[in-house]
Amino acid sequence: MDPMKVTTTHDPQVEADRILQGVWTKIAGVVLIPVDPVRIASELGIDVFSAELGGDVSGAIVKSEDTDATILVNQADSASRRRFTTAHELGHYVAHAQDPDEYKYVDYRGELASQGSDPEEVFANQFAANLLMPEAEVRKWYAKGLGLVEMAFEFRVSQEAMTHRLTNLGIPFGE
Amino acid sequence: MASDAEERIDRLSREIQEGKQPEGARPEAQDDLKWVDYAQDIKLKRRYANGLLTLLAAQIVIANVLVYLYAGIGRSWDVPTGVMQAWLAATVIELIGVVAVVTRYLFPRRS
Repeated sequence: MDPMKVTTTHDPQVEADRILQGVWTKIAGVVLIPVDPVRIASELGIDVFSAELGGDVSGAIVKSEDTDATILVNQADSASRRRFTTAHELGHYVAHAQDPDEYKYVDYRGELASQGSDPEEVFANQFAANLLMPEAEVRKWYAKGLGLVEMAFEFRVSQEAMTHRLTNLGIPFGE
Repeated sequence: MASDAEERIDRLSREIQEGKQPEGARPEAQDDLKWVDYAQDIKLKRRYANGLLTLLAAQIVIANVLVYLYAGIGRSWDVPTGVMQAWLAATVIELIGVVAVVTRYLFPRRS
């Protein structure tokens, strides 16, 4: 299967919505929750492997000239953490969609929480949040009366990630 | 430490791109397909349901218009009893058929 081509506007919400509508709904038929970033990566022609990367590395994306990109995630991390890392690395891929040159991003533990000031990292984080926790779906599930723990479970993300998402969307939630 | 990690990442990604099975790495698992299949099943059923309901609505409109043209305009509502019995019976049978199909789909029999 030929990998799908991606263009970018450098707006993380627009880009995540575009991937959800253009790639995920083609796989799942609808914006199915939980979103599977590994399956989306596969559809885009990106290999995702888990490996022992060292205690301080959460993940990486490597793109060499004339080859497809490869995403590596730390096998020691939890499944929800690896999903977010995969989505974060997909954010780097989308940001460089029109860039044929080689690039490499290695994401170190702790940088996700601090958000950092690097615009590329901020983009990748916001892209990952929008991809795994689409605003419309978060509001829809929240309206059903789910709490933080249930929301995190349904979206297969950590409670920390869901807390950030609900806060950023201005949605009040109980502990 | 960082350089060791980056060297390992470079080696692993190079081996993956060369089609080798990198030592100590494995393809990340994808979510169970049954959820994707389930969503596609719902989408297909929704498409069928919308199409069939559209056809049903069109058929009801056409049938009622034809009855009005025949009975109201063609015969000034002087309609033979047999025709009205047949039309009402056909309408009831059609309704029962639709209800039966819908309920059998919504509540399928389990073995």
